[in-house]
Order: sequence, then C-alpha cells, then structure tokens
Amino acid sequence: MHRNTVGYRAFGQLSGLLIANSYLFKFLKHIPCPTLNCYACPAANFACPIGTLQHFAAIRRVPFFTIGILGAIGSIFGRAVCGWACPIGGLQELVYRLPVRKFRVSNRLSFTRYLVLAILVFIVPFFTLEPWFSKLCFVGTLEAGIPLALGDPMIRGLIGPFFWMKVAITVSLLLAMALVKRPFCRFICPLGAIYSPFNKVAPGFIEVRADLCTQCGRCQDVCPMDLDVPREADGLNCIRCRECVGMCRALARPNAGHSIG
Amino acid sequence: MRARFLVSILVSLFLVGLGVLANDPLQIFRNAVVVCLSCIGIQ
Repeated sequence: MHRNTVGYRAFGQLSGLLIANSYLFKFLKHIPCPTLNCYACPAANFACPIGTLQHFAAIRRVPFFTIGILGAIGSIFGRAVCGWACPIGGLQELVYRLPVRKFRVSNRLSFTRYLVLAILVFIVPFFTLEPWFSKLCFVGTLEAGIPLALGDPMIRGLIGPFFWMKVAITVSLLLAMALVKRPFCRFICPLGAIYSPFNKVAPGFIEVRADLCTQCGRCQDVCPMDLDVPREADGLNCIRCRECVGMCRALARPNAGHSIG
Repeated sequence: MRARFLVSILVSLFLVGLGVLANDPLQIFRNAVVVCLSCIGIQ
C-alpha cells in the first residue's frame, strides 16, 4: 500500500511557517532562517538567508556565519529542508492542487537556480550595492509587501510602479505553480541551489534497485519535483520528500538493510 | 559517505565560529531589523 508523506510534510511546512513568523523570538534575527522566509515580514523571527548573503556581498565581506549555518543544516538534512520544512515549498504544492490543466517541464533547465544564486545574490549586489534578488523576490511581496501595504497607510502611500511589478511577478509565479510542479523550487530558488550539493553529503539517501524497476513512471507522477526518480533519486534536484519511497519496491528506504558509509 | 558528512559538518562549524569572531551575527541583526524596502517593493 502506498503511504505518502504529504500530511507529515504539510505539518512540517506549516510548523516551519509558524516558527519562522511567530513574532515571539525576535532575538533570533541574529541567525539566518534555514528556509526561505522574508525578514521584512512584521512577524519574522529570523534573518532571511538570501537577504543576508546579498547584504554581505554589498558590504563586501565574506558571510562566514551564514555559510556555516546553511552548511551545517545542509550537511545534516540536505534538501530535505526544502521538502519538509520550507513553507514556500508547501505553498507551491498547495497551489498545484488547483484543478487546472497541468504541464510537465523538463528538469534540464534546473541549472537556472545556480545562475540566480551567482548573479542576483552575489555578483549584482557586489557591484551595485543593492539586493537585487530581494527586489524581485515574490516571498517578500507575499509575506511583507502586501500585508504591510494593507495594514500601514504610510507604506500604502509609498507604493509605486516597482511595487506593482513585484505583484505581477508574484501573480505570474502563483499561476505557474498551478500549472507546473514546484516551479520556484526547481528553476529559481537560490537557497535550494545552496542546499543541492549537500544531498551528496547528508545521510538518509534513497537507493534505487534497477533490477526491480519496471519503468512504470508512477514515481515521477507522485514526485513533487517531477523527477525521473530511477535516474535522479537523491540527485541535486531531489528534495527527499520520500513520496516515491514506500510506493515502489524498487526504491529502498534509508537503512532498510543498508547503512551509510 | 560518513567521512564526507563529518568533514562537511566540521568545516561548517569552523565557519560558524569564524563568523562569530568576525561579529557576523551582529551585522546580520543590524541588517535584519531595518525594514527591507526592496523586499516590500518600495525601493
């Protein structure tokens, strides 16, 4: 029987949202959030990891602490953070449930998130001294821009074309989320790009038994990242959600008769 | 795999320590408590 992890992951993603935005632990703004969360959100507890990296690029300092924190979390969990704790991942899976026509987009284009990381998070802020990823980031619009514009007349008075451009980006991405599986994760998210290589390091891998695989494609159907699971399980794009594990005897659970090392 | 994991976690913790010595958390806090106008879409 296929036991999916959607319910557990939704709980994790909701917990991630509440922990990052509970307003109770503001002193944690010394620490970058392990998931993508906007620090302009009035209830945010942590610093945005990507905003912090851009800030350090703009002041031309090496962000040792942020790299270390993200490296430690990545080393332990890999991209499971994206699959189990990131509220933006949860939002994408929720919107994808809308009953509209779906489209399959190849993961061959997923290298674009590394370009976003290199260009918008490091290179452009370094030269322009401006956080250009934040200027385009839809998470800021959703968690901070729209709520603040609705609740604060002073912010509302400052709204200009730039705000509406961010709203247009947000609406376009929400539309894409309804049509394509996790488009932001797969093609844009720079935090996912940072965590990706750690899938080769973090324990909890998935083993594919090629001799048992019948190429039925059901694993790809349930995969939220639309991966060709027999080829890409635990690869750079895998978010370790384990939707595929348990539905197929060709996919082994971690440590089910195997050990790391 | 286990060796890679240990090296990765040790390097990460070393970087965290280096960041603490370089006062990174204070710099992060200073940046995080100022409302990010770029994030909101105003500037």
